[in-house]
Amino acid sequence: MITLSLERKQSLGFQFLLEEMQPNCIYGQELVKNAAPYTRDEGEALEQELNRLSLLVKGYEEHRSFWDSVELVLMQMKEVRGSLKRGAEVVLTDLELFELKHFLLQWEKLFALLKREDAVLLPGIAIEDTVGALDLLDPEKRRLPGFYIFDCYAEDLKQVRDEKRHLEVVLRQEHEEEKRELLLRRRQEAVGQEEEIQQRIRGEITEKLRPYLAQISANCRAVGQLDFLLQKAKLARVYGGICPQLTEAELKLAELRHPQMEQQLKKKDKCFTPISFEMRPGTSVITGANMGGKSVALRTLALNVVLAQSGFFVYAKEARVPLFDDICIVAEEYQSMQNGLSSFGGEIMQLQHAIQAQKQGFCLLIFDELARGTNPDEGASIVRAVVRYLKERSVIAIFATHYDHVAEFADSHYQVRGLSQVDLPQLEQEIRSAQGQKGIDVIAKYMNYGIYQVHEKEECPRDAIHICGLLGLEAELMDLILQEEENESGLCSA
Amino acid sequence: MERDLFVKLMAGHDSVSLAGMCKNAGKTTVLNRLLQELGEAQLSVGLTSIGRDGETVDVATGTKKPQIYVREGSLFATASGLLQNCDVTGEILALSGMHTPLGEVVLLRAKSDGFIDLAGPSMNLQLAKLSRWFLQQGVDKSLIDGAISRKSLCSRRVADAVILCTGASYHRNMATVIADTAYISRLLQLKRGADEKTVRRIEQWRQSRPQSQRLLFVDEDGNGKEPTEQRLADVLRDKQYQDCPYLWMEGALTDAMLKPMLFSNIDCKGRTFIVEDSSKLLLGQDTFEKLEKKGVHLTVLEEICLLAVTINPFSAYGNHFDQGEFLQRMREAVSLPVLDVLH
Repeated sequence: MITLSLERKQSLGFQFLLEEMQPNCIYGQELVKNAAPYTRDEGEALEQELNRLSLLVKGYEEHRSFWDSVELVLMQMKEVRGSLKRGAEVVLTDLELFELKHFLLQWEKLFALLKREDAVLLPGIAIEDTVGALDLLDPEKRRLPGFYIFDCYAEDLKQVRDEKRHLEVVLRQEHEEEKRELLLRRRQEAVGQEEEIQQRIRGEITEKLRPYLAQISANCRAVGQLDFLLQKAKLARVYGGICPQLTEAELKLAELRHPQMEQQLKKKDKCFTPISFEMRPGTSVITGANMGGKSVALRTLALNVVLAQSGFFVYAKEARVPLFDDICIVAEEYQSMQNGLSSFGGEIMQLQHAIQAQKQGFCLLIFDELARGTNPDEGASIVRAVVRYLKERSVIAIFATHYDHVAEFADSHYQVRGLSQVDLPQLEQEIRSAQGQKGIDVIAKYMNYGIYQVHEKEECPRDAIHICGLLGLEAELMDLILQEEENESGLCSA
Repeated sequence: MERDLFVKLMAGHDSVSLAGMCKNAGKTTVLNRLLQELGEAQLSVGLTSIGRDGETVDVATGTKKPQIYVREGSLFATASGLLQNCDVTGEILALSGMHTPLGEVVLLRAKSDGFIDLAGPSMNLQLAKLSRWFLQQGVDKSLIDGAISRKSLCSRRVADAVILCTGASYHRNMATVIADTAYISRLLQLKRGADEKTVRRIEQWRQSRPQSQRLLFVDEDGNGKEPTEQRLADVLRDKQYQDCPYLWMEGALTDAMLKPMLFSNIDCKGRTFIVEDSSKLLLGQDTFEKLEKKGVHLTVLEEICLLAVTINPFSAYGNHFDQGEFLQRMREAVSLPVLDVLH
C-alpha cells in the first residue's frame, strides 16, 4: 500500500487539488481526506473507478440539472454510522431513530433519482433499496421528517396516551392546588407507563431494523463514493484532465501540467510549460540548467502518476500509466529537518527506504538532485552507483542531477532546454535595461522549461556560470569563476 | 390579577423574552403563568432559553425536576442532553446545527401537555434564528427564557419585548431591590433619540466602519464626522465637533470610558449619545445619573419594549418581604405595570 503523509500530499500539489474539492456530505469528505493510490492488486477496482469517472465527466454537462439535484440530496445526508453500530448492540434512542429516518428519507430520494430510467448509471456502485427500514420509522407512511414513538406502533401505547391526555385536559381547567397535585401525580404515573411502553417499542424497532443495518452501511459507502466521484469530475472539468489508460509497465505522459503551479504562475502572468515523458522500466536521467525546472518536472510527473493511481483524471494530453507497488520520492525536504536529521541524512534514509521498496515490487522512484548537499566528487559517485544499482531492476527510476557522467549509466537521458536556444546578447541587453532584482524574472521568461530526450552522449550544460553573469554578479568574482572553470577543464582534459 | 393580563401586555409583540434580576426571582413561575394564559387564549407558542438556567435542582428533594409546563402543539428547542428530562411526548422535528455543552439543540413539537427542560444556545444570532424558525412554523408567540444576569439584558435582535423579573432574593434590603430594579427598567426603556437622517447616516457608516473607529459625530444635517481620537473626553472637548449634537458609540459603553469626561469641565449640555441597544450599556447607576446631570441625552438605536416588571416577595434565603408594601413601593418607583407573581 502506498501511504502519503499530509506533507507529501502538500509538496506534490495533491493536497491543493483535494482542498479544491467541496464534498457535500461527511461520507464524501472522508474519502477526499483519505484519498490515496490504489494498490497494484486493486487494478480492476481502479479501472472501474476511472471508467465511472469518464462516464460522469462525459455526461455531466448534458445531465447538469440531474447531478445538481443529486448534490442537493447529498448535502442533506448526515452521519449515521455511529447509530448503525450502536443499533447492532443496544436499543436506539429517539434522537438516533430520528437521524436514521432522516437519512433513509434522503436515501429514498437519491435512490429514486439514481434508478430513473434516463439516469446515468454508475457501474459497480451497489445501492440497496431500504424502504422497509424507512417504513419502520414512518409507520404512517407520510414521509415527513418528524419522528417520535407514534401512537400507531402499539395499541397499549395509544391507550395510555389517551388516558394521559384526558388527565391533562382536566388539569388545564383545575385551579385548586390540592386537586392539581393529585392530578399531576396521576399524570406522572401515566408518564411512567408511557415511557415503559415507548422503551419496549424502541427495542422492537431496533430489533426489526437490524437486518437492514448492513445495507444501510453499504448505502453510506455508496453515498461517499458518489460524492467523491462528483468532486473528481468537477476537478477534471475545472483543470481540464483526461482519463489515464492503465498499462502493464509503460509510462507515457504527453504535455503534463501541474494545476497548483499553473495557478501560481498565472497570478504572475506567466505560463506553465507542459512536459512530456515516455519511459519503460529502467533508469532515466534529467540534466539541465539551474532554474531550468527539473524539480518542477519531477513533481509534475509524480503528481500525475499519483492522481492516475488514485482514480483521478490526470492533467495531460495523453496518459498511459502503469500501477506501481510504491512511489518513492527522494528529495531534500523540510520534513527531514523537522525530524532532526541533517538534510543529507534525511535523503539517505529516504534512499534506503526506496531501495527496500523496490525489492518488494514494481516501483516508481524519483530522485531530485540526490546528494546535492555533499561534496561533488562523493555526491557524483553516490548518484552513479544508485543508477547502476537500479539498472535492470523492476523500477522506473528518474534522476534529476547536475553531476556529470551519470547519464551514461542510465537507460535514457533527458535534457531541460534551458537557455540553450536563447540569443544571449539580447538577453543581457534586456536584463541591463530591466535593472536590479528583475534579472531573475527576465531569465525565467527566456528559460525554456521543456525537456527533450537526448540520444547521443552529451555533457551537462554550463548554464550556471551564464546565469551568474546574467544576474550581474560582481565582475572581479566572475573573472575568478571563469578562471577556475578553465583550470578545471584543463585538469580534466589533462 | 386578571386571567389574561400577560396576553394583553404581549399583544403586538411576536417575540418576548424573560430577564431575571437574580435567581429565584420567579422567572419560571412567570413563564408558566404566561404559557397558561396563552394556552387559554388559544395562542400557540415556541419556546427556548438563553443557555441553561441553573435552577433545576429541587431544593427539598435534591432531585432534578423540569419546571416548565407546556401545552400540546407547542414547539420548543432544547439541548439533546436534556431530552430525557422532558416528560412531554415530544416529536423530534429537526436538528438545529447549534451546539451547547449539553449537546446539539433539537427542535421538537409537544404531542401532549407536559414538562420540558430547556437549554438553548447562548449566542444572540442563534436565538434570533430559532425565534424566526418558530414564527415561520406558524406559532403565535415566540418566548425566550432569559438568563439571570443584568449584563445580558435581552438584545433587541433576539426579541421585540422583555419582561423583567425581580424579587426578595436579589437583596435583603427592599430599598436596594427597588432602586436597582427601577434603574434596570430605565435602561431597558431608553428610547430612540435621533431623527431618521441621523439613523440612516449611522447605519451606513456601520457597514463600512474601520475596525479601530468606534465613534462617529453626526451634525444637524445628517453629516458624519469621524474623530481621529477615540477617547471621549478628548473628542468632546474638540471644537470641530461642537456643531454635532449626536455621538454614535459602537459596542459597549462602560463606566471607565465615561469617567474622565464626567470629572472634567466639558460642557455636554444638549449632546445625544447613541448606542446600539440597552444591552450595550455596562454602566453603574451612579455613572448613569451623573451623565444625566451633565445634560447628556442617552439613547439607543434599537428600542426594546419593556412590558412589565414582576416581583416575587419570597426569598430563597429566608428574608421575605411584605407582599403589599413591596408591590406598592415598586409601583411608585417604576412607570410600568408591576405584577406580583404570587397573585
